[in-house]
Amino acid sequence: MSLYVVSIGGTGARCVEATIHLAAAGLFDKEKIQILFIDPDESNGNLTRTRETLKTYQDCRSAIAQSGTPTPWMQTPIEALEVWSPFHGSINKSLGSYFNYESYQFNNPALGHLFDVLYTQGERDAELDVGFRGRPAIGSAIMSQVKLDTSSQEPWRTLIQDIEQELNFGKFPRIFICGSIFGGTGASGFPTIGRLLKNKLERSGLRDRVKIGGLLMLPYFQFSVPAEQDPGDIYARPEQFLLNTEAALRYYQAQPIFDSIYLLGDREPASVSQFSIGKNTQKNDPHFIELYAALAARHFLLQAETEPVVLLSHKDEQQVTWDDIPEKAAVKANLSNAVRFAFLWTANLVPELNRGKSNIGEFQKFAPWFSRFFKPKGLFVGGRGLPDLNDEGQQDVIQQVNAWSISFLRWMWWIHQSGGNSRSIQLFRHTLFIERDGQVRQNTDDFPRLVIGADRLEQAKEATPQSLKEQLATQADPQPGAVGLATALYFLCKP
Amino acid sequence: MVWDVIRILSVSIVGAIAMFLIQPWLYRSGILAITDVDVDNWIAEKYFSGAGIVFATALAATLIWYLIAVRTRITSSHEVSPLRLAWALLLFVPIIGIGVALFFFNGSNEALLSLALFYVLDIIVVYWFSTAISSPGLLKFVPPGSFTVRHLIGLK
Repeated sequence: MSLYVVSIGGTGARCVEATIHLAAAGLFDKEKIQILFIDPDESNGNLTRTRETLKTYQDCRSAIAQSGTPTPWMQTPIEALEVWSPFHGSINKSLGSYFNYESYQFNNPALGHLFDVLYTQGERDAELDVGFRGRPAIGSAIMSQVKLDTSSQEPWRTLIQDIEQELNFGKFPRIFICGSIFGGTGASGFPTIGRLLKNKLERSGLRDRVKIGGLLMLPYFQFSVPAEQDPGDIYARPEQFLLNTEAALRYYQAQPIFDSIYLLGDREPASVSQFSIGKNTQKNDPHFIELYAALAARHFLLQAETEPVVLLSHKDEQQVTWDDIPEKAAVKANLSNAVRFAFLWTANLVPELNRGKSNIGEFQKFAPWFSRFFKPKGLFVGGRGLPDLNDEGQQDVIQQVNAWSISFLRWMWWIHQSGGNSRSIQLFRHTLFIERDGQVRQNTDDFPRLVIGADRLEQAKEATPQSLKEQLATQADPQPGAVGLATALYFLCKP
Repeated sequence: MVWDVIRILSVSIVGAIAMFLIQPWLYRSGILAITDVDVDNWIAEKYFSGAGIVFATALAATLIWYLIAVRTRITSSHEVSPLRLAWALLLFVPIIGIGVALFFFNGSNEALLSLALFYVLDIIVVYWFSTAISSPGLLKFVPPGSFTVRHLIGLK
C-alpha cells in the first residue's frame, strides 16, 4: 500500500529526509511514497536540504532502475508534490494581510476587536514567510483556511485525487503526518491538517479505508537567542517549547483524529549552534531521533493493524545501540548493506574508475572486475554488448550513484554525531567512513569494521574490499555497465 | 584457488612431458640429429640434468609467484601494477636456470642451439603460460599477455 507523507515545517522535512535515506536502504516496500511538504517558509534550509536529498535519490534510482538484480536498494519510488505554502503567490505575508484585518475596521469592527484580543500587533504584522515563528496560534488560523473540497487548490487536489484513485483500485493507502509539537508550523499544522484530512475522508465516505498516522516530535533541540535579538520581536523561544508541548498533548488526548500516533523526543536536546528565525539559515544537522522518526513511518506503513500507542526507549542512558532499534535484524541488515556499499563505491570504486578512464588498456589488466562490466580494449578480448566506460551515460550513472552514496554516508555520520556530550550512538564506526571535514575517507582498510556489534566470528567472515572485487571479477553474466557494477556490488555488500 | 592450483599442476605436467619425454625423443629418433656425442649417453648424463634444472627453476618461480599473489593484500589497481615487476624479476630465475643448464650440462655443440630454443619454449610454458592462466584474484592479468590469453581460451 502506498504511503502519503505530509511533512509539516522544518522538523517534518527532516523526518522525511530520514525516511528517504531509509527507503534507499530498502527498508520500505515497493509501493510509492508520495510527499507533500507544507511550509510557509519555502526557502527553509531544512526543507531545501530534504528536497536536494530527494532529488539525489530520484536521480540515482532512475539511473539504476533498469537493473534486474534483486536487491531492495532503492526499490521504493518516491515522489513529491509541489511545496504548499499558504502564502504562495501573496505579496504580503503577514497574519493581518492574510485575513484582511484592515477591512474589519470598516466592515466588521467586532471581528476586528476579537482579532486584537487574540493577536498582538506584532503577531499581526510579523512577516510569516520565515515560518510561523514558534507561534502555533498564528499558524493554526492560517492552516485552517485550507479548503480540501475546493477543486482548484493544488497540491491538495492532486493528493486527494491520488488517494481516491488508489481506493478505486482496491488499495488501502495510508497517510502519515509528521511535524514538531513545539514549534510554529508543525504545532499548528499537525492537528489542523490532520483534522481537515480526516473530515474530508469522512465526507467522502472513505475514512474507514484510509489509516491516518501521526508523528509528533517533542523538543529535541535547543538554541540560544543572541543578546542583540530584540525581545519584542516575534520568534520561537526555546524556553516555551515544553509548555507548548504540554498544551498540545492535552489537545491530542481529546481529539480522535489519528489511528496511530507516535511521539518521539530526547531528554538531552541537541544544541543548535546558529540562531535563525527562518529562511535558508534555518538548517539543523541531522539527529538520531529522526532515524526513529523514519522507523516510525515504516512501522506505520508495514504493520497490518495500526496500534494506538507505541512505546520505545533506549536501554542505556549513555549510548544508543542496535538493541535499541526496533526490528533490529532487518534494520541492521539493510542499513549495514547500504553503508558498506556507499563507502566502497565512493572511496574505492569511483576513484578506480576515474583512474581507468584515461588508459583502459592498462587499467583492465590491474582491475580484473572491469572487463565484466565495461568494454575491454584489445584484440580477441570480446566485450560485445558491453558499454564503454567513457560513455557519457555511464559516467552519469557513476556520478549519480556517487552523489547518493556521499549524501547517505554524511547523513549517517551526522546521526552519530548527534548524541551529545554524554551519549554515543553505537551503530556504525562513523569516523571510519567520513572525516571531520565531511569528506569521505579514501582508506578502506577498516571496511570490515564498519558495523558495530558484529561478533568476532562475524568479523572474521566479513568481506574485505579485495574479496568483494574478486567476487565481482567472477560474476557470471552480470548486467553490463555502471548499473550492473553498482547493483552487483550492492548485492555483494550484504552482511 | 583450487582451480588455479589444478591449472599450475596441469601445465607443469604438460611441461614435464614435453621436457622429459618428447624433447629427448626428438634427439633419440634423429629428427634433431646430433653426431658429436653418443645420443643416449648425452641424454642420460647431460640432457636430463640440464632439463631438470630448467624445469625446477621454472616451477619454483611459478610457485613463488603464486604464493606472492595469494598473500598480497590489494585494495586498488595502483597496488597491482608494481607486482608486474615482481613477476618479471622472478622470470630471471628460470633464465638463470637456462644459463646454468647450457653452460654446465650441454656437452654437445651441435645440440646447443636446439637446446637453447627448447629451454626458452619450456619456460614459456612452465612459467609464463602457467602464471598467465592461474594467477589468482585481482592479480590474474598481471603476467604479460594474460589478459588476451585468458579471453581467448575463455578463462576471463
